Amino acid sequence: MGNVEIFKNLKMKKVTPLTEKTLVIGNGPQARCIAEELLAKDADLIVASEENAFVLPFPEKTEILTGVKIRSCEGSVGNFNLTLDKDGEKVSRIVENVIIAEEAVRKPNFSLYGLTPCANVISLSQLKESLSDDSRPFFKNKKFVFLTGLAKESNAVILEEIMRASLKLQSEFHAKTYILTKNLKVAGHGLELLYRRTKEAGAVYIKFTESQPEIHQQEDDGPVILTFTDDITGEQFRLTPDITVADETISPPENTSDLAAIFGLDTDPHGFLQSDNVHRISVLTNRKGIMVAGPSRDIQSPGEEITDTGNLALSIFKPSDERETASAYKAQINPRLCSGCLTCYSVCPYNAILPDTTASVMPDACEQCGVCAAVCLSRAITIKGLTYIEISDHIEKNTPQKKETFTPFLLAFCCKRSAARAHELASCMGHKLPPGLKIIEVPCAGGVSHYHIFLALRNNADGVLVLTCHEGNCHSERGNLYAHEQLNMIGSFLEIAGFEKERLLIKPLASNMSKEFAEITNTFEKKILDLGPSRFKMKKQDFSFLT
Amino acid sequence: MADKNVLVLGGGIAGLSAARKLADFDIGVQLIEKSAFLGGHGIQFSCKATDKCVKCGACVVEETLENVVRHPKINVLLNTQTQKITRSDGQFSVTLQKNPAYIDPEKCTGCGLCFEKCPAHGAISRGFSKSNLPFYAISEKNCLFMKDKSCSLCQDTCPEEAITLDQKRTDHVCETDAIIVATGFEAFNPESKPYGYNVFDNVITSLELERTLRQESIVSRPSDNKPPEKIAFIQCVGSRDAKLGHLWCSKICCGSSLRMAKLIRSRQPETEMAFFYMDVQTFGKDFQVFYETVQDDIRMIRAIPGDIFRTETDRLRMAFLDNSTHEILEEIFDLVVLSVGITPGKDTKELADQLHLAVSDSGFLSPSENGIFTAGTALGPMSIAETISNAGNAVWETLKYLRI
Amino acid sequence: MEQTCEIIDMDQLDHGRFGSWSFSQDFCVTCGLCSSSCPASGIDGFDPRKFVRMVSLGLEDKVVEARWPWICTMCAKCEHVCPMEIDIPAMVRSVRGLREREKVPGVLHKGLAAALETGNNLSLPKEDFVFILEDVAEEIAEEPGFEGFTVPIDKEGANILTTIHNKLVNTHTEDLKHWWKIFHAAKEDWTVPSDNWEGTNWGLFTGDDEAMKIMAGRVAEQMEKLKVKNLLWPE
Repeated sequence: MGNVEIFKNLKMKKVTPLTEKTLVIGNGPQARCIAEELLAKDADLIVASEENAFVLPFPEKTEILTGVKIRSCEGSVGNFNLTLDKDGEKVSRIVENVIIAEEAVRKPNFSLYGLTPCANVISLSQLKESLSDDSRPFFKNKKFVFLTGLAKESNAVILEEIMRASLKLQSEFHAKTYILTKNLKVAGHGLELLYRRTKEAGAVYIKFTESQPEIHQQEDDGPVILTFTDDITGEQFRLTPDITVADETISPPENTSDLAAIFGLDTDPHGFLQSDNVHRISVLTNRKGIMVAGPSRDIQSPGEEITDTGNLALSIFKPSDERETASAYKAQINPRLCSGCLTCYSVCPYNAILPDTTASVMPDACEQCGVCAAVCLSRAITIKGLTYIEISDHIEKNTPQKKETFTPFLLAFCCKRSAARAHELASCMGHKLPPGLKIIEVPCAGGVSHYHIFLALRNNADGVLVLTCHEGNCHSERGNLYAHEQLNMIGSFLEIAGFEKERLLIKPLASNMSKEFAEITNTFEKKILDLGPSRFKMKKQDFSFLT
Repeated sequence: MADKNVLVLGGGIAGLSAARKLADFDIGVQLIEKSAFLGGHGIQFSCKATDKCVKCGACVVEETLENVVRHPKINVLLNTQTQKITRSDGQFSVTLQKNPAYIDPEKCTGCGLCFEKCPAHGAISRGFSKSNLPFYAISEKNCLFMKDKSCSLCQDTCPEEAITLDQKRTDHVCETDAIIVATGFEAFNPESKPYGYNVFDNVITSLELERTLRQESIVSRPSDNKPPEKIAFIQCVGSRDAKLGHLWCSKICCGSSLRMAKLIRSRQPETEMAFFYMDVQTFGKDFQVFYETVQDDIRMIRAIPGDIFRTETDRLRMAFLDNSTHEILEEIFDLVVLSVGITPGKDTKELADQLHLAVSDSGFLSPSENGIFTAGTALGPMSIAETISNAGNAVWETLKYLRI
Repeated sequence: MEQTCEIIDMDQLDHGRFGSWSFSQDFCVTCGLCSSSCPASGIDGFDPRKFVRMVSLGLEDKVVEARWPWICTMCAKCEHVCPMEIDIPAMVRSVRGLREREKVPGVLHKGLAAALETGNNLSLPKEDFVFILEDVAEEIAEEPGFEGFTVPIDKEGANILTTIHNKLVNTHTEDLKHWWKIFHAAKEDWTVPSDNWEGTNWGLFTGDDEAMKIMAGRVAEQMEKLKVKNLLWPE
């Protein structure tokens, strides 16, 4: 009976965190805000800052490591083993959780507007800094032009800063302000009102749709002349500002890609430390115990940064009973079968595999998606609920009796987060589903392996469906993509062997798509009806390699 | 930390997230929802993924709802509203008025027989998610039994004997240590706008389109069930409007409508679509790319159209200013979708008075603390993701207040 | 669309006069709803939004010289739909008022001058006016049910005083009958003044506040003179 028996005899290690320490990585206000909030609730903190100073109100309550660089991080939640560089020396710390809360980087868009920065061509940050300085007679009665969102789309965070600066320039310096933009990004709290106030104070907004202003800077440090056609009047205008303010692109902190590599974190298209995936709302990452906050995870307004702090605190203080009860369901690697190829390590979305001569699973980090088991060539990895025995039993139990008229037996492997829920909803809504349709709920479509597919075919399934989450919506980040690869590969093999690959179908489906669930399965049934009963034959002994 | 109780007002995504997170800390939660179904607006939203997820967040509402109804620490009270709230010694005593559910969620199997048999239009409505328990609800307004006891067909035919029509409204008193107000928003009713909403069948709101796409997967014209050849989306209906006192951008409409337009485009590729707007707002991390591809598929017209008229062939004619030629163009569409804004809930004022909460100039609740906390779109426009974060933060504030 | 080669220095525009106007023109969010709704949009390459924008930017010469503000019928549809409560009709009127009076479009200019001089836009002598009214009344009296109908000119102490639009005593005399028949059927106690009966007030349309005051004042004067409390001003 193979693997399952072996695992029954393997004692599960009960895991308790070695420490309750939390490491906060960051230098700026966001990290400070988090540290203060957590310290107020007596969290056991270590703060690691690359800068040489990090000021906290109760420095004695925490360990503050300044001027350090993170070198490596091993282990998993409850037991992250970190190595840091401090003044050329290696420092090690073990922590339960890690919070990354760096500050974002502002890149002025001078070059996008063909401008060279000089005394009269400044960035938004430079202007903000100057405005926070009390006496600025230089600004008095001057003409300011703000350029924003013209070369590429901007956002509400930048617009809010521009409008606040404009208001201050207007009210305190009697300056005249012109704001040139494409889409005015007022989708922020109170921004429509602020927009109105700036207009009341005399700000002129020029919105472009198709055209762009022509921007000329006479020499590298010369005056700027803008000419443009106003969309609304159709008139051509010229502006010769005293000061031109370029907007900025908000980018991830500079060390982000290093941190992503060290911690094994997915990033979004801009490089922020959180993949663009709804399962990460709001401060989560692909790794348990590692959270990201504020500017490390997205472009954020100050209000959102405070919100993140609250959510982080929830993650840190959340009671941890979940981890022990679920540990029996984690992936398990049989060391006697493991060849040490570490394919599992390279595909695990959660960094739950500990690589060594043989691989092993860090149960606390495992989210039991099954991706590792599906790719393991040595069949050394099993997950409760997904083992071949269990799936085989399940299929056998659900195999319908042969009827006189051909009723296709359709087996659908459904991701528990999406398609399995859509199936339930389809039943609730009373949608007609194929009579021969049977559902196998899997933790992630990425956990469906070619063995599972062959099991289905051997058990006389006339068609096999794999229903996944949509790309970008997979809790295991790429599980759905692995499933696609897997199924395409099997399809092409079957085709070579003269078998209709149309009997295999993979489709994305969300949990609330009940109608689509019915449509996909009914269309598939029709297809299979056209193809007729499956001719797939495999003797039981041909399958011995599975058990 | 045990034995603390929190009352959560509102069963939309804000209330659901808050309830779930509180329960994770072993706090007993009373979740109060005034309607017959949990999930608020969000549970009615369609998944807008084409081949890829577009991060609208609709699926998260579904998942959160499922977690909430399964959670042993959360007690859900549907059809319930607060009557009176008193506070002494840090304890709140809340009088709740609960209208009967008529259908016993324990017994109902969701077979739908009652829904099928009911002779009164609108008397039995269906939930949106399979986590809506029971999946059917009886509306007092339309039920014939409530009117004159002339019909009890549903009760008589229910094979599970789950329906009891003769029930009375009950009052409950709930003692609680803290309250989270997550009463959500009201979608703007566009009847006052010159678009013939509720006059022309084929002028619908974005919320109605969400529901249609969720339930039917494709869009058709309400008047004749035919697929529309041309659809117009009109943005900012009820938002960015000083005359209405709505000096805010509702934040979510550009994302919702453009994503739905893309979805329709992928499912009904023949459909022509025009998007009438003032300013396209940035949404999602992938906005720049999304916006570029949207412009290939959908005509973006920077003007808000004027009156809508019905043509003799039951299509919709409207005029708009062409930005580049400064001419007025007339165009005919088959379906017009009004992107209606987020406005404060109708009973915000009353609730604020009960709870001694401040209401901002805009009519939304102001953030509050000290025992009564606020979360979600009751505070102003927010996306699903923002609402979840906001609710998380409210839970953290609550925990601090409860000294947990 | 008009294409001008001239490039305007935006920062040199004079906002002085327009800036003092409180029609909320600066609150325009350029949504275009006014222009989409306006029946006169597109004429001369103009539309209400463009008009508001020009005023807001301070393009005074261009907007005062433009023909479009005189084409606007002041129907106020734009104001009705404007989400920012911009009083566009009032702006149109104010812009008209900024034109040199000699440049006010001919009909309006002459009509107003005539009205100020003679009491009505047509310079219709009093005798002719009374003759026309009585003639129309006689025609009504010939109709069944209106036997003995007369027009109560200058009736002291009547309940209602009604003004007359000049076209009703010029090309559209038939239209007088509808009103009068209603008065008759309703047994209304009404009157028409024989002097200063002109209902149209082209001071309003040309943005000439002084003239508007004079015209309105004359109507009030008539009411006082004839001791009438209610005014019917069917304009």
